[in-house]
Amino acid sequence: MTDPTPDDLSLATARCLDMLGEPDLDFDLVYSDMRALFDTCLLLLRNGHEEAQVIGAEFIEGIVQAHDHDFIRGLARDLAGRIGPDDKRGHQFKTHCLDPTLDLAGIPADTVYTDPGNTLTADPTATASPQVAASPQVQVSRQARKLTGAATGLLPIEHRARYNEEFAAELWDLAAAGAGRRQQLAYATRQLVRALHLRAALTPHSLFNAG
Amino acid sequence: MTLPTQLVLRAMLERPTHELYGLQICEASGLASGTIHPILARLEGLGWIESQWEDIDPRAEGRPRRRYYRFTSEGAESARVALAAAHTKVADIGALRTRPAGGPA
Repeated sequence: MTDPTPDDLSLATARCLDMLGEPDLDFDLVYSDMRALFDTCLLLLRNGHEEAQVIGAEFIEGIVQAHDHDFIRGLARDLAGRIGPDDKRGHQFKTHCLDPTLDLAGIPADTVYTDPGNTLTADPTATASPQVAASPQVQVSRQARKLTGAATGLLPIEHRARYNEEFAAELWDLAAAGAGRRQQLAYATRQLVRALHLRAALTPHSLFNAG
Repeated sequence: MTLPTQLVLRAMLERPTHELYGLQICEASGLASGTIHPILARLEGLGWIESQWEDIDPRAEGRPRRRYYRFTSEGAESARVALAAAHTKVADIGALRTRPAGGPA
């Protein structure tokens, strides 16, 4: 087996970021691929490829730019939950990939790793976070959030975080007003259906009329 | 100017100095949520409206912050002029808003 090259890492990074944009994430696959990516990064650094560090940083920035706090918190919690107490490589992965991602997103790590609750279906015992519904009555549909995540994934990258957060707030407001899962999914579907119109509206000189 | 854009502008002109967030604009204009964001983005691009995050501590409030929209200092007047020039009959807009789904045009 040949050693990986920076090009291999670049491709793997792009694949990972694409995968993180999928509406239905397979966390087993995400964990496996992100760990592999991290291991490749380490191996390249050991072989003297300093650019691996840059690519690793770009990967972390890519996650933060493309996703909102809900997503990043959920991802970090899920991935960290798979690291056993004696898993040294897993702890390295957490220290050098998950923690910097949370740090860049401005999310306190202790609120992620010590909160066993579901950030979207509020847990009254959980620590509230900037994007978390604290009221036990508010139930935001995960599927609806995935759909709005897919919708924002179609937008220019510089606008994704803003609309992710804006749609999350609107979904939360709908849920707080008593909207059930079906109504939330209808809201999210409408955002997805119109996402290309929004993209066109955000793109100067677009020929596509946003209506 | 499309009818949905006119509806958004008319809804916001009802209280031109007030800030509204997306769902409030949907309710005031009678439009679906997916329709208004492209319109708001275009109006923001034109400089007619501006938006900003709600000034709250989401952790303390226990909910995400909203994005609020309002007219810029020149935006409301530009909107009034554009609506007047659009020559769209208010009755037509009313018919659009009240027409049942699948009903006659």
